[in-house]
Amino acid sequence: VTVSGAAVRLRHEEAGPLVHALVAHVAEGLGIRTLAIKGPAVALQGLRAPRASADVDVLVHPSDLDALVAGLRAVGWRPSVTLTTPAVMPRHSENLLNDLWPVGIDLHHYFPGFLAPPGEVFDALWERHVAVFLAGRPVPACDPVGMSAIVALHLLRDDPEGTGPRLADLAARASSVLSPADVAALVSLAERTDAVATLRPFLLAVGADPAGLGPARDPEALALWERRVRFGGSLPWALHLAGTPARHWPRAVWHALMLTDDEIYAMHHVAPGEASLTRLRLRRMRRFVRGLPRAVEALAEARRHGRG
Amino acid sequence: VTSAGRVALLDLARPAAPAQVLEGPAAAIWGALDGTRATADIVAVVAGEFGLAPDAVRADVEGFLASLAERGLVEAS
Repeated sequence: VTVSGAAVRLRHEEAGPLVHALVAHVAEGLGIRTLAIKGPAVALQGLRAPRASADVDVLVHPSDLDALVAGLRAVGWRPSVTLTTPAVMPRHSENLLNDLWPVGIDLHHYFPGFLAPPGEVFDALWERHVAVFLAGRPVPACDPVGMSAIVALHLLRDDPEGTGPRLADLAARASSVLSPADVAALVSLAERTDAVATLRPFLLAVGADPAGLGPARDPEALALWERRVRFGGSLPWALHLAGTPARHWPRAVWHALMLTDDEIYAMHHVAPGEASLTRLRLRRMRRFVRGLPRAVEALAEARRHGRG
Repeated sequence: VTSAGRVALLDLARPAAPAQVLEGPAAAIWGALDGTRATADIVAVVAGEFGLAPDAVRADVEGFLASLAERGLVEAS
């Protein structure tokens, strides 16, 4: 009978809760507030079926991000890759890796779709936080009201009309988890975080009164969100190309397809060396071809309206 | 983190150390640790789980508990 240690590979479904416990432990030692979002906490709250995740997602107040990254670096975690891809909205998370663990840590300092300032959003979510038990330890997490808003915004990024099966599943589960008072609290949270407009399909799906759903307080941020969800990953590249002389387009498109080796691995949530780079790049090219019509539309719009 | 026949552990007192995975009998011994049982009781629980006489598992259980203690994963009280 032995302790197997590193000889036995840790499974994703084991690593996720353990890393949540680890992040909470390190953050508490530094006096930093963190919230577990997405992942196993969502399943524990009944908002999705249990499944293993490639990353552990944690929300932190933006002013605490650097200190928490430093704290995690001190226990063996490192930033994953330097991204060379363009972005429309500021990067919303820092991805950390550790060779001893099969999952990464995504430290979010804001969550796209909440249009209010990130620090205010964090404080609003923190006021409602609960403890979930992960790996035998209480871990601070968004409560089901805040968590359903976060998961809904995550899904609405790729399904802006909210007609897809994943949002329908979330809405069905949320409708049974959330009481009428919780739905009212969800609307209040959406108002406070300026997410009423971005969450609208989900709020309606869980029974919110349409008459009580006002417009966004920050119309510019809403317009950027709407362009991002309409054009998906094509928009950053389209804006990048729109601002690049046409003679440099072949090189820019080639880079968009190839990226760096580290980016390709990180993008597919695969540890370096675990999969063929050629196969991963072919997968990216297939996605590129499928997304071409949307990319062309995004480029045309970017050139009409200028960058950003 | 417990699943069928496996337990994954992390010692938060050593957050930079790798997680430990226990399988089979090791996981059963870990599962028998409830913070109150004496070693003899743990031997009896594990023996019962595998349908063996306590004497047949005692040395393995005691050795394993010693290795857990060496790694700081359990403390004798």
